[in-house]
Amino acid sequence: MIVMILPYILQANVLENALEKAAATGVAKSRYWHLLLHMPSDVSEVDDPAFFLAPGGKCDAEAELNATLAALYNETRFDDNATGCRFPARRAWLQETLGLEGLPELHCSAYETLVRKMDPQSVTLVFSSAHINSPASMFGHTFLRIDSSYESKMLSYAINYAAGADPDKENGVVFAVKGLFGGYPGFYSLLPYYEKLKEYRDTEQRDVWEYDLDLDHDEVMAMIRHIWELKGVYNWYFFFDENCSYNMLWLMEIARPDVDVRGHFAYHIIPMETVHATEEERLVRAKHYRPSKRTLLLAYEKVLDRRGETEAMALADGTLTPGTVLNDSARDTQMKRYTLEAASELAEYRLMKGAVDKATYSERFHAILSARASLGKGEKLPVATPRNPDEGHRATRAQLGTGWRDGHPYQQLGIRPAYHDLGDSDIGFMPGTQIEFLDLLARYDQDGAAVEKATIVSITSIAPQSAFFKPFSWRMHAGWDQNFISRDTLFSMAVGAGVAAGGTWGYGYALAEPELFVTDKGYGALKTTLGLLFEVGGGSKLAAEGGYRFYADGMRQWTGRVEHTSRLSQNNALKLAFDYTDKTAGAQRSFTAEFVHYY
Amino acid sequence: MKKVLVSLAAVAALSSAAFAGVNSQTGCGLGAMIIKDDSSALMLALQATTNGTSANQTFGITSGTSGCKRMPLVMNDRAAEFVASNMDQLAKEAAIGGGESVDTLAELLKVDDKAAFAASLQQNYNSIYTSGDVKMADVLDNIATVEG
Repeated sequence: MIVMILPYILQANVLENALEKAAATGVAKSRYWHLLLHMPSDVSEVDDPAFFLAPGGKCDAEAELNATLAALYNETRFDDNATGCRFPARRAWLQETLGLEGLPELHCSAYETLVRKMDPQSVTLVFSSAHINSPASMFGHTFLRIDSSYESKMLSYAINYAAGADPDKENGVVFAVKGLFGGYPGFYSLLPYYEKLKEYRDTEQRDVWEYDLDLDHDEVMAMIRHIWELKGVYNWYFFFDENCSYNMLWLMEIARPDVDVRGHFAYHIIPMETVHATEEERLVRAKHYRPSKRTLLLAYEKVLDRRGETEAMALADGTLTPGTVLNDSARDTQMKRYTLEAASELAEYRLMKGAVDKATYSERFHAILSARASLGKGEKLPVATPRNPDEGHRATRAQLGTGWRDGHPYQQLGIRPAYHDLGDSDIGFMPGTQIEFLDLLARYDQDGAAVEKATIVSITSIAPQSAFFKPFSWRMHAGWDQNFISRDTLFSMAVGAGVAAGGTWGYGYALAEPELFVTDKGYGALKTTLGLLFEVGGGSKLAAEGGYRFYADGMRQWTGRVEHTSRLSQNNALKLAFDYTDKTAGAQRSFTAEFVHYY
Repeated sequence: MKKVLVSLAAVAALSSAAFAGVNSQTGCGLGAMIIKDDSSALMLALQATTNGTSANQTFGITSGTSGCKRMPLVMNDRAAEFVASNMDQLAKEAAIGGGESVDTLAELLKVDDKAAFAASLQQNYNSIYTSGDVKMADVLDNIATVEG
């Protein structure tokens, strides 16, 4: 009988000892325990009750610690269902920190299978940049990649955090709103990296940037143990703060607790900013670039002549057979190779767009590649690496300027929490894209201080047309500004569309924009706009835009702006601008010189 | 809305796919790519604000080959998964004469001379990718035959 009970008494004793030691050393207050619980202060950000063992564990780090100790000592199952198998990071850390003795032997086969298959050696932070025509994606997306002993990075695994919602099944507006305000649960997932590349690089056509982190094997294992604890656990997803990037920061700190990447952020988290924070914490040891499918096709446009482009499109559309290209004796072999390669990429692009059915595509794709293979190894397509997004300006902009409006001097002060406009330097950004939130500009002149502009949101996508791509360009804004024909700052909304053409020199665009001005009675207008933007080297630019506004009541109004931005350094610029606006009181001209700083 | 039918077996094996605004399918043949819906301008404005995912997020450490034909030759699962998931990319690189996916496959098949492997895939392209509806198992099989 005694022999039967003895293990329980011993178990009770070791648990007792562990609890006493935990209380004496105050480990429940430690930074690492709070990291394990995702507790910035007293409340965990994890919303899933399954993540907690104590009834009030979400808000009580100490109760959760004691409940964890009790569960670890009183395991009733010793397989995958054991507490220690569900929480390997807690178990390992408590065992080490409190010198726990007599923990039961466990067989965590599911976890061990995962570790064996992942073979974790090092970690890379991956950033996918903007998707053309979708400036909302400018904020980018980040996830972590766990690298193995394999030389090929394609065999790594991606740890991703995303909202558990299907954008296909949701109304777009509902989807965005719920995503912004925590209407969806967010989950961590684990997928082979090649699947993520297909998703971001190929389907969404976003360039992928990789930042290898300087974490050693033990640190990586600490991260993996914790990732396992997050399997199937949800937090409410908030686009601005508790988003994909933010949740990666926890994992980095779990791996290396003496870095404080979360401390770099106050109220909103922009994915690229997490890269900046990671670099400031000196965690990045190497960087790599993977061009998107779109970038590749644009590179093919550069090496192909007009005829090659036409042939590539005809091949992809099935109006030209690969044999015709092969048997063209007058044609240079390398040009044939490029033509067929571009055609295969285009055929795949057509499939993704849903422009061709799978069976037709498969035959066409196969015929093109079969022809290409017969031409032997050729030159590798040259793809220029763009400037790394980490060289781009930081998200928040402050501007301080002085100028003259109709001969009267004024000073102005502006602040914009996020993120980028056409006038900001394009280094590290996709040219022609703009997304701004809460851009605020105040002016002080002979009449006193006034709000010049208060943008709620403004989005622009100037997407130049090319041989292979025919995107449309568009622009929308909502907020208070000085655009109306009177001298008041009025609320206006506009959504317009048009076309653009461009090259390495810059781009030009034409837009038609229906607008609504909110006055006491409301004014409708249509603005036609022509714009030109020249890249003048070193990340500086010269932009000119002219517009003609037709008001519904018959009024007409010319507007024009010329702006020169000199990039002084990554986060400093000098702006010179001239504005012309027709007003009911006559033409209004202003000249501004501004210093711009990003942080 | 074009929905790609995902075979139940593949879902079971995939157990997770996270696609913002796209549908995924790991097939066994060419064209197992994704079909996107055409988005309205409004959708474009809002796209990618939230990173959405259309499936239950779990930990998919395999990308799945169930639903694919059994391979006559005993091959490693990892290679089978990789080829099933990257049929089109591999075909392109085999035709061009090399690339990251071909190198990855060489590594999975424990081929030492990657350059020779890539050259051989290109030379024997038509005996490996025999037709437009070739399947993963045949591709691996044919590679094994060619590499002998």
